[in-house]
Amino acid sequence: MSESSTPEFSLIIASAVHDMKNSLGMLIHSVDDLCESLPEEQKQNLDLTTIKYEAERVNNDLIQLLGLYRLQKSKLSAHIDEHHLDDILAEQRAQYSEIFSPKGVELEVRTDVNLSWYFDRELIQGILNNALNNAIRYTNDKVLICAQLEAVNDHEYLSVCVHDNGKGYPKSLLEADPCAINNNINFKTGSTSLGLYFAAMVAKLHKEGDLLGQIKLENDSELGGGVFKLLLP
Amino acid sequence: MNAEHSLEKLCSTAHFLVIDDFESFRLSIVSMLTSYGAQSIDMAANAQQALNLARYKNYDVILCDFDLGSGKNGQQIIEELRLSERLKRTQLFIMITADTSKEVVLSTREFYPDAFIAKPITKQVFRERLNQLLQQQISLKPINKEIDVKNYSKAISLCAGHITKKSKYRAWCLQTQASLYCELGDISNAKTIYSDVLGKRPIDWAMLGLGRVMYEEKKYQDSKNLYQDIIKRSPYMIEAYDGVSNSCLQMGQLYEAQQALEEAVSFSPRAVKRQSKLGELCLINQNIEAAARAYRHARQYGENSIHDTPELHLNLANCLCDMIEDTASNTNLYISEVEEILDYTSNHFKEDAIVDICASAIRARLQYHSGLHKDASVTLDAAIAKLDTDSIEPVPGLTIAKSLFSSKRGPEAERILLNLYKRFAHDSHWRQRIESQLEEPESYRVRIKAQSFNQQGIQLFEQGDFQGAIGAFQHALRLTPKHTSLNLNFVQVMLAAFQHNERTFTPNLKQDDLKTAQQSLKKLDYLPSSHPQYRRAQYLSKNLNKLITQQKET
Repeated sequence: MSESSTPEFSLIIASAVHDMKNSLGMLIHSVDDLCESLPEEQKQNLDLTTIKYEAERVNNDLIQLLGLYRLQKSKLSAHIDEHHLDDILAEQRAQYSEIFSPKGVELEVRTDVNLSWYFDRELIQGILNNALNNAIRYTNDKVLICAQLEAVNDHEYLSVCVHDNGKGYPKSLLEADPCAINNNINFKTGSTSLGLYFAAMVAKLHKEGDLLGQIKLENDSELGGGVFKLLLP
Repeated sequence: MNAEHSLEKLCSTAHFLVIDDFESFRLSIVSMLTSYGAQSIDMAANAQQALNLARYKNYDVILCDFDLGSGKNGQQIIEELRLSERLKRTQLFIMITADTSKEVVLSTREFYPDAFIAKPITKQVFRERLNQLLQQQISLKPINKEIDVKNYSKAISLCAGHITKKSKYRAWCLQTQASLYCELGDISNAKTIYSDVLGKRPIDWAMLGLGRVMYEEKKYQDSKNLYQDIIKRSPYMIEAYDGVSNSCLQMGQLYEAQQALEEAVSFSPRAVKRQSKLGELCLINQNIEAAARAYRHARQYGENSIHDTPELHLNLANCLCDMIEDTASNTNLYISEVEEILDYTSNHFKEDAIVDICASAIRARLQYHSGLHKDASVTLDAAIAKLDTDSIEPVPGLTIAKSLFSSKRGPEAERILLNLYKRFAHDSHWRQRIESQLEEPESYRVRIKAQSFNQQGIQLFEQGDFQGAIGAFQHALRLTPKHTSLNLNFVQVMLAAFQHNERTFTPNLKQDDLKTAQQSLKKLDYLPSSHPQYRRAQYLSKNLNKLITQQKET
């Protein structure tokens, strides 16, 4: 354990990202404080939603970057425990209702009160946050998040889907392998597919016997748009 | 399942304590709580206020920020509350933190807060989390109440109710049931639960539980293997490293025990107790630099902690003195560090007369090292005069012995150590510490050299090269003449060589050689019958005497 050797580049990036994440936290907190101190009518005029939405996006990106760093170092592991889906989704709803309703988007949550499953709470919530962030960008006016059990090749999986009623995913994304990040980066459109790649990796950390977690993108939503689907064994 | 209680109703009857050093943050939490219907909310700006308040009032919910500026931090608050048993199971402790680094989260998780909430907190998310936590609190209150009054069997049967009803808290109840069975010493019931759960899923808590069961069953190799499996799956499961370390300790694998703890502290450095334990292990393993590292961390994170004991400061000072006496370079830095530590320790633990005596003894080491031999002996004698050396306790005893060795007063040091040995050898921890000084008062680099000669001797012995082995052991004995197993190794190889020579008629060993073997055994006369090497010494002594009588007869 030498303490004086030069740290590698990825470590420098990781610590910078970590620092940014802390700063962002302070920033969001100060914005909240600032808004609280304003008189009511001024609050109404501020476009707080944009601030919150963009902050949330940056925050998610940073979390994913840190997660990817840990993945690369094989330091990211899933802490599996039993969780209740209604708790998890209620929290998601609480977090996003603030962003959804001012944009005129309706968020529906559908699950069985007694449904529980085995996964890493923070990691899975991270994936869902990202999916919701995406959904709000591309949907018309509705997002549905639903969790249920699903049999795939005779094996039971938990399926969590994020539906929207937008135009659906572009063909290139539907056909691409989310695990192969290099195929999907497109600096022109700003789409890095980082979120999808990270989601696929995190899903894969959830193992049960030979079964692995996975994500799927489809365009057959009951709302008419795209579906982001997370399957956990 | 219990009927759902509304958040407003739960909040209106609960007592809250909000701990944060920023007033604006305290007020924003309070305003959120008030908007949910809370009526009784106390605030604290620092740990001292918080602990005082918690002493007199049973809060249902404590919301505590991790970073509280100066003084204790949030982790140290929960640590202190848990250790002094002032935090009941029925109370909720929620850690709020802006710093979600692994180091902070893992260190705090060791004291089991009921929840972690990351800053920034939005109103809606906070409401939802608090609601979930309060619902759980009220549902499990009957069970936790029984646990708080240590009525474990009642708690176990209440858990069973939830489990058969397949309540939402079924998993919690299984985990609680199993750990209560362990507390009651009913290992087989605990094992059944853990095995059942693991039959379906490799859940972390059940794996840790099964490891504990194996440890209690004294199946240390099994528990070590299982804990290592857990680490492979979840590298941040601190308890698993402790499990590996303890299992290794039981099997005498001291170095591996040290390694496991070193890994644990590398990402959860704040647990002072583990750092001190690591320091002790390093001392037993003669790994002075590693011990110094552990004690430095213990000092750093122990500031304000309930685990801040004088021992860890004194041990660090002694380690640094070892390093000073051993190396020519860099000593000035170490010397000022030792002086700083001693000043701090004498000051900070003023009420403890023993601490002052120990600090003086260590000062004498520094004086002797810088050539002030007379001053050193005056300082040391003054320290010794304050103690009754016949009833001396291990901590001052070991410290004074070390200082005596350093100032070339070996025989006095040995007298103290042998006296300690008689009284404390039954305690394996102290026995190891006393032995390592008694056997090898020499500087630690010399000891490491001796160890490598010893290893070499063992290898040669195993290859059948007795002459080579004898040579290697003799080299080692010149460096550390009192080392127990080294002396025994030497005697053993002598006996083997004699028997071998008898068969092959090579008369190159003489009566004199047998005498040196006898002298080696004589050095170990002090070993009490409880010593792990005692029987080996007895056995070798019997054989050696037999051989000597045979030689005389021929």
